[in-house]
Amino acid sequence: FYCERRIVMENGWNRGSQKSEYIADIPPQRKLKPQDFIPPLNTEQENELFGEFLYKQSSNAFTKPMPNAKPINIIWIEGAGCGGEWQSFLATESFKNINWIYCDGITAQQGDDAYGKIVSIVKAKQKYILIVSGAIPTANNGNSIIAARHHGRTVSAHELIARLALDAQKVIALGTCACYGGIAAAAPNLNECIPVSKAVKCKELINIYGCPVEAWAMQMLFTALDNNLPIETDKLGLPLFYNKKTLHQSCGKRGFFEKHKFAKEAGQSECMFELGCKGSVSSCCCGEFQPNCITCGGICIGCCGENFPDKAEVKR
Amino acid sequence: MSSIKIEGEKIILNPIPRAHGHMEVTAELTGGIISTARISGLHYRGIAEKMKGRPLSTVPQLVSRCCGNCSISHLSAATKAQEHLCRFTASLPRAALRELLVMISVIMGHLQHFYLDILPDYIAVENTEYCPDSRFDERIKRKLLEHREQFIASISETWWNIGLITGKRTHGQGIYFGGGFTEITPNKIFAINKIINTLQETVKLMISDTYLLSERYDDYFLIGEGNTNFIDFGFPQDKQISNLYCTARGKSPIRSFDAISSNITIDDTRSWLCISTSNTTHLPTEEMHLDFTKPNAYSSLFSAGYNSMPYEMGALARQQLIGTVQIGVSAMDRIIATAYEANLLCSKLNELTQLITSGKMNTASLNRDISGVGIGISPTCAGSVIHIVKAQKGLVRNYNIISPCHWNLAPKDKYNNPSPLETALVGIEAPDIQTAQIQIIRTVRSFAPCIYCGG
Repeated sequence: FYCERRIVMENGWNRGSQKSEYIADIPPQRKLKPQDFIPPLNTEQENELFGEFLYKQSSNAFTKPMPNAKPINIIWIEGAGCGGEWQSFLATESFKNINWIYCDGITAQQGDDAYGKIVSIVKAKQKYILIVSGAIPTANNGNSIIAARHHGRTVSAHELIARLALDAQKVIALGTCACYGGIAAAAPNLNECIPVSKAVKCKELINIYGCPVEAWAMQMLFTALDNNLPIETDKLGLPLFYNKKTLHQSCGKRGFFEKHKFAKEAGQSECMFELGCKGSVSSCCCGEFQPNCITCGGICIGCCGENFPDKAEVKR
Repeated sequence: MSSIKIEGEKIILNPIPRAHGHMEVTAELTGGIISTARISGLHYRGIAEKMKGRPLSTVPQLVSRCCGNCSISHLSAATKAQEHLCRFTASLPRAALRELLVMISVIMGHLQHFYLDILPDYIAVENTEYCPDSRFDERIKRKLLEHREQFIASISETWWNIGLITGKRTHGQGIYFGGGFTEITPNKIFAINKIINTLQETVKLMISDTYLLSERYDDYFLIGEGNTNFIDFGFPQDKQISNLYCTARGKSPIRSFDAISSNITIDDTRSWLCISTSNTTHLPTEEMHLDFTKPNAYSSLFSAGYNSMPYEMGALARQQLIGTVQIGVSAMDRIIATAYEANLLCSKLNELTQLITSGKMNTASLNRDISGVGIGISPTCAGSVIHIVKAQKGLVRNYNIISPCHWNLAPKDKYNNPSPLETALVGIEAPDIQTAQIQIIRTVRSFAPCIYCGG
């Protein structure tokens, strides 16, 4: 595999027009600061964040187990995301055992009714899984994206996610933004976004990359959660169902590459390598599932990669 | 019992799920009437600012990642801006393919908006067991839920078929400079036909469900009027196929850059964003940065206006400007307009499909050393997105995105003009805070809010 990649790099990668000469114009990403980690809260801070409610909760449906099932409590909080992961989730089959505590696309309540659902599950020390889509904004103490307001105090997405991650059984970072920063952390990064792995402390972190996460990966993830199956991961928190092959290895246009037949424009049937395709360095499984960006005649921009988008610019 | 927080007579709603992005509504109830309302967009990432310094060719795919729901519309607007910059006209089949993708995404947006965002406000869905003021009997409720499930079950297949053309369901690559580019093969025509059939069937259900909703909740015909100023930039945007659907009258279509830059105004008085413009034109802006200490600011969205006047966009605005149907202005009328427009668009899909196969997909290449200013407009389900690009030697110098949320959900401008949503909320009569909350939230969702598009 490495040998193959080296050959690709030597023979073709530098031959095409892929030099990133204009990268110099984009300022470098900011370095991590110590305050990016929110330390465990003391009692006073905890009360401030999850303090008493003035009114009794209206509904307790979320804590009620469904018949004949062991529901998995899931809290899905969006950071600096785009809702793309939710669209991918909609393309999956339905799941029976999932009990949505909070999800931007599902929750019927709003305001304190909705926030109270999160609070009560944490206070009752029930088990839950935290899903985070989008990067974590840290500018202005995280207040560039505000997730809730409680007793007149703003609760930033950063502090809410950091607090929920402490007690969560596992934290799932959905999408390239959550895993690596992605487009949200691209320069000039006005709201200073960082990936979930650098913003929270948790028992177990699973990174599911993709911009957005492909529906098949979403299906695998939620099927595992739905059936209470373990999700095996490597040292970087990447699930093993990502087989680490590059798109190039399983690309349907590989034959054209071997015969040195390259397309001159997007939409043609030949290999897109000379147009700046990132398939040879994109360690995603896109090639094994159809449809994908290549089958429609497009050019891979490496959206699953750690370097996306600043260090993975494609010149066409 | 409700858990609404009362601070005097204040209602603060945050978080608001099903609004596509973080937002907050603050309203004050005085003597049974909502006297003030404030909408805050709290979801800022600065996507347009991120485009600065990047080569033009990479911009459409990156900037479309602004919003996961309206991704295809942003992609379309970004490529149109580049074509305008290069003074290039896309060939008919390629332009038709682009408009077809936008239309399909708008219809999908309307359906998702109705079944996933609006319906849970009126009936208790799935296991949430939460719906105050539910007026349906069991039989009708079951029917509505059945239709909702039918729609959710069809999403997977529809997105898969769209993926054949765009590569991915969201943030796909279906459109480059010069329009849609996919080679149209029989299996793709088959996929398009399947999409059309599924959408037409689902839209029929949506129309009957909208009728049921409007019949049972007829008091919402008197709630959420807004400022009744409407604006739209035409649908479809492409001149070559404008006969398929009426372009709106009134303040549109505005096509030249001069008309846009001299008439569309953007205002940052109540926004945390600080915008600097050049002396000669409003657009594109020179620079944006966040300042959370700005006095009187309460939103990360700036407000867009036509000659400094706030206007409403969206399905209702388009129907009002066309004037083909007698339709009022209220929260319920917005839902009806959504269903009506989805049906109208569905009836045009077959004609558009024929145009795709009417000629050869010709080639188009972007001039890599181009300099100048370009503008691209594309419809979404909540209005129109406008992309303005200023390029210098093939690199982006300035980039602006003006989205429906900058019109509909904006903060007040420097003349203290409220946005359409703030106007719609003020004056709602409610005997108690709980009723006020329900009416506020139903009015907010009738605007199809999408804060992600704000950048």
